[in-house]
Amino acid sequence: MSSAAQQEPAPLQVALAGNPNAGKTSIFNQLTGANQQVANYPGITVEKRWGNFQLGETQVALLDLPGTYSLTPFSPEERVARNALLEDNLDVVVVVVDSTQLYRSLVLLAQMMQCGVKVVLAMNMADEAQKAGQKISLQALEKHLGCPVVETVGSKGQGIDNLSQAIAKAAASNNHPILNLDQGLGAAIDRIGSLLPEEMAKSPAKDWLATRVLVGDTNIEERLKEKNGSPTLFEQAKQARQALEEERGKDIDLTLSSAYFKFAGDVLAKNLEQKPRADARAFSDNIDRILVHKFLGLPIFAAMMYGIFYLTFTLGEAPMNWIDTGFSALGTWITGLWPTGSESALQSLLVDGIIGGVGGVVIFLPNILLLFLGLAFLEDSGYMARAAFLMDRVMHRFGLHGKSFVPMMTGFGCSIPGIMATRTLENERDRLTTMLVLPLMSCGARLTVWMLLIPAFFAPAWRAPMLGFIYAAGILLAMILARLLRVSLLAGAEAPFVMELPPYRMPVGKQIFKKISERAWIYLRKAGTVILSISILLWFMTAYPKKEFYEVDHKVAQGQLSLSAEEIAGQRAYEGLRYSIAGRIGQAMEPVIKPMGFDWKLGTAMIGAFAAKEVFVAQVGIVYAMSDVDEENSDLRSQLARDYSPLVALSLMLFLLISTPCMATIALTARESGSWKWAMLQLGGLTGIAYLISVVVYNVGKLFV
Amino acid sequence: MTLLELNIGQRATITDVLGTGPVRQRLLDMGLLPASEIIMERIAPTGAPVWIRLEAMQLALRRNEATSIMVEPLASSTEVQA
Repeated sequence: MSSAAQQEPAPLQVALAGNPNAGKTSIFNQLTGANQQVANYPGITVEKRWGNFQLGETQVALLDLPGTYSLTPFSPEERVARNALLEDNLDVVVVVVDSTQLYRSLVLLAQMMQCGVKVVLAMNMADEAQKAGQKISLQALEKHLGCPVVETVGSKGQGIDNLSQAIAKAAASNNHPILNLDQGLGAAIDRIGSLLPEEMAKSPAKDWLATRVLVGDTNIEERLKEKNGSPTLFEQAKQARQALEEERGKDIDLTLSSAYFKFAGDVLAKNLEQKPRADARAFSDNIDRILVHKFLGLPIFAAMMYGIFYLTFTLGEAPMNWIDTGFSALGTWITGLWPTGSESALQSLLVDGIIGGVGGVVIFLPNILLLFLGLAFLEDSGYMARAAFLMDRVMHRFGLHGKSFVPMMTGFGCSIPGIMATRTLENERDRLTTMLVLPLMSCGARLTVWMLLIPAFFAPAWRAPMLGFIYAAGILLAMILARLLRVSLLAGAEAPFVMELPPYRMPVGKQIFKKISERAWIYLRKAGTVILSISILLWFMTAYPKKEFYEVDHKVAQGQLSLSAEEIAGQRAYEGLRYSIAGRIGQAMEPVIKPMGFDWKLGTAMIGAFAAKEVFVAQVGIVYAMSDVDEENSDLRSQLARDYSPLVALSLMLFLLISTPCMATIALTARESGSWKWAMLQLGGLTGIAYLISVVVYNVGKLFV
Repeated sequence: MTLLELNIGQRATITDVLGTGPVRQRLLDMGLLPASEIIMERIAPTGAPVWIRLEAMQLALRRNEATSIMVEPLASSTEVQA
């Protein structure tokens, strides 16, 4: 960073801070336009969004801090925001507040003021506040707070120019607004401030640091120890804390929170010219009377979910067929570039490896777009919070969050959008738990496997119950595992559940479009990188080494067999796969998979299933020397029924349901969780559990069959 | 009594916020402080969370959070909801 600064003037470092739902992201989008990037902070699920824009002659680097209610370091979001404030040398911090929630929002402003940063107050959603009849004098407010104040409507792009000018004004001034807390508290903070180690005492955030020392914030104490804080400091802080607590008859946290809210209350008492009408939210409240009604609430929610999934899969079907046709046509065209008889490895790589692998992932794009359209609508309208309200008790019993419900449901379509939909969960542990167990929801790709296996092994009367059983087994196991995760790896004090229910709002098309396109792009990029490389690897494993002589050719040449050209091709494919790396791995795996009742053929097919679950069907087809196989193939079914018992089929289905989520899922989990550790745990943990369950089911089952 | 024991539509003043750590801090950050006035709006069909109103805010709290908030109901405050 510092080396770049030598060539050109350093850009102005500006951050956006604010409560969740204050509309920070829309302000961010308005300021930066397309010049922005999104990634996770390393190792955590918190999203980092940054970008830049031009302010006159000056380049501005803008950071969107995670939404927080305060700067106390309890959640990862709060820690990120606080570290940025204390360490990033920000020139200006824009505090974005919801104008209809000034009382609560001004608390964060108070804490920012203690951090000694130059602040701009952006009163967002100003249109809603005006509609509610709220009137506030901006000049009076600016004077009172000592920082620029602007009104904005992020969703409509109003007030953005004023905001830019206010940022420039704040950057140019030397004013750090000072927060004056009540006398006793202020005096204690000042006294501790004077005892801080030199480096901290000189920091603009001195008041904030002293406040945290006063309340006994362990996080700050660690920092102090690193900076060789005087040993008497903690003792002094403790005494000051106890004195205040005794004097006021309440603990220090309560005293401090009350002081911040008193500041907010004073600001409003002095500057609010007209309060909002009491019935400003009547419209939204009336909708809630129906949508979260005691009896109607749940059925309405169920109907809405059904509607979204129905639209996703029916409207998605046509474009999926187009993509499928497109990729097939591309494959055929590439195949045609080589004259018959001169097929090369490159051709096979392009057609079977790359187009097959990437095409298999891209094909889900229409589903994903439609599903995200539905989800974005639920989120931006405010209904998602209601859905979480309705579902929370059930989900919480299993260690999940009310908002986990929608991603889990989505997982029945495909784990990929499901995992991406976990972004609606603010809490890291909730999000990780949901993400890790989500692949147990039997996805659409696995349905093709059930459609092949169930009719092959079970009498018609048993087919529907069997399918139901598989889905139920996945749900049950997901619930159990979520519960277990919450008492083991993701254990820890329960995160607070204090969920705001914002009024219903009309979603803004532009913002929905942005949300969807961002997620679609992440999905496509994944298809283009990780999935592409694994596809190539898997292609290589199933295609190499090549057999030079096929036994079937030999037998046919000797007249021992007489087969049609198609049967010969099938036999060759079978021999080729058996000879390939994947085939050999399948054979080598046999001792390991035998306890589940599987042989090398199923083992080899399962290697393909790692690429994508539906590949299992094609691979089984190859090991059974069938060309052109789909799940409707009745010959393949009868061959399977001949070779395996229904018990093996059950064991196999359970294994495919639970084990090895597909590679796209693993790659996405790594990205969304911020670490490969979780992805590997998902892969290893689920596969281990699948193995255990299949072995038990097969061996116990054998006693009865 | 705790917030959880309030009837639907009942108004109350917060008298104390019990508990420790992140949960309590979040309650305080949201302005659930002694002397604040709240209204119990509704309870989810499954029995939890509860939905309350505080100033201009509407909040959902789980049973755990709701039981750590001590309240004093305001006399004759029950406005029956449709």
